Amino acid sequence: MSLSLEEIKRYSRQLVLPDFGSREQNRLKKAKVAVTGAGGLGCPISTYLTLAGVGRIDIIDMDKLDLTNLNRQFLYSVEDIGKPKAELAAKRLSEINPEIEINGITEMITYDNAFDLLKGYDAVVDGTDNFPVRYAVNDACAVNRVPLFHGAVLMYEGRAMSIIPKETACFRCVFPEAPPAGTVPTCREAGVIGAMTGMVGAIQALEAIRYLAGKEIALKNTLLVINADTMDFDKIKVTRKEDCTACGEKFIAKPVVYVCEDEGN
Amino acid sequence: MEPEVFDLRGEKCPDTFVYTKVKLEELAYSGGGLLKVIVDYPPAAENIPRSLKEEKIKYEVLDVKKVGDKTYELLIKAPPV
Repeated sequence: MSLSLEEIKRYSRQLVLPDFGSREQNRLKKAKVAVTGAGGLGCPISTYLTLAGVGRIDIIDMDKLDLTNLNRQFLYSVEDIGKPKAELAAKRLSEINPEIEINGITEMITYDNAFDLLKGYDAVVDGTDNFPVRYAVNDACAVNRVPLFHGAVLMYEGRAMSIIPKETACFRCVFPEAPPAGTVPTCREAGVIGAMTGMVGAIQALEAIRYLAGKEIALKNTLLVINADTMDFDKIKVTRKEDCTACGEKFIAKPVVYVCEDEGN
Repeated sequence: MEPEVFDLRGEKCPDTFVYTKVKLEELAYSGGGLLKVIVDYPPAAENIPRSLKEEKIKYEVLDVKKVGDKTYELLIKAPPV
């Protein structure tokens, strides 16, 4: 596989990096990635994957655009309100980089369909914002052995972690159970500023890009916790659990069910 | 060994380097070889060898020759990787 002159020009500012070249670019080109969510995290994640030249990106989101999305979700316009976000994002990003394939999939991710929906990818980058879907994505990636790039934002706290199945701690190794319904507010309830999701999504995307390019990544077995009040970036060491119900010796399905589910990305 | 000729006249930095780098990598990954790069942007004659030193692959710049008013030819060896 070789790069066209057009591709070399498009990616020239990353190809000049001493540890990044045609081999790494070709690895990105061959990669197939799913982005779960086209919201606050999904916008920066899918944008940076697109710009870097990931060959195939599937954006999965069930929501339609709402005016309240526009303080953080930068791929959309006012006239798009009411339209499905996954398709809007795919269309906008295809305009930015027509060299790659981007698909918008308007579907709700559940514990029942996640295992099939997230099969066959080289990586999944998670931009969901609620526990039922987050655990569904984690468990599906653990079982399917697909690397997962986790991220989450709540008010001024951001988190990110990179998960290589069977090698590093998964989300459930660190947090075996979801907090009880109602104890943790959602973004919608607690509030979120776009620059915050932008920062965390960019970190997830960078980890995924480096991993797909064959480079070392920093957030394996490491939960990055960002406190934007103080701008402290803390790296917390985490370890894999052999008896983890998701990635351990024996998989046990543990869907997280919240009775009153009312969340957007 | 006859070098492959890569004409980059009309291109400026850093694109001259990027095109050269990708071409050299293709050579390196397919068994190594020689590349003759032609540029007509004088800073590239200095920048390409300097930037190649930063690369992981150890390229050898065998010759940098001024062949015209602003035109230079660089002879570079790509090792097999």
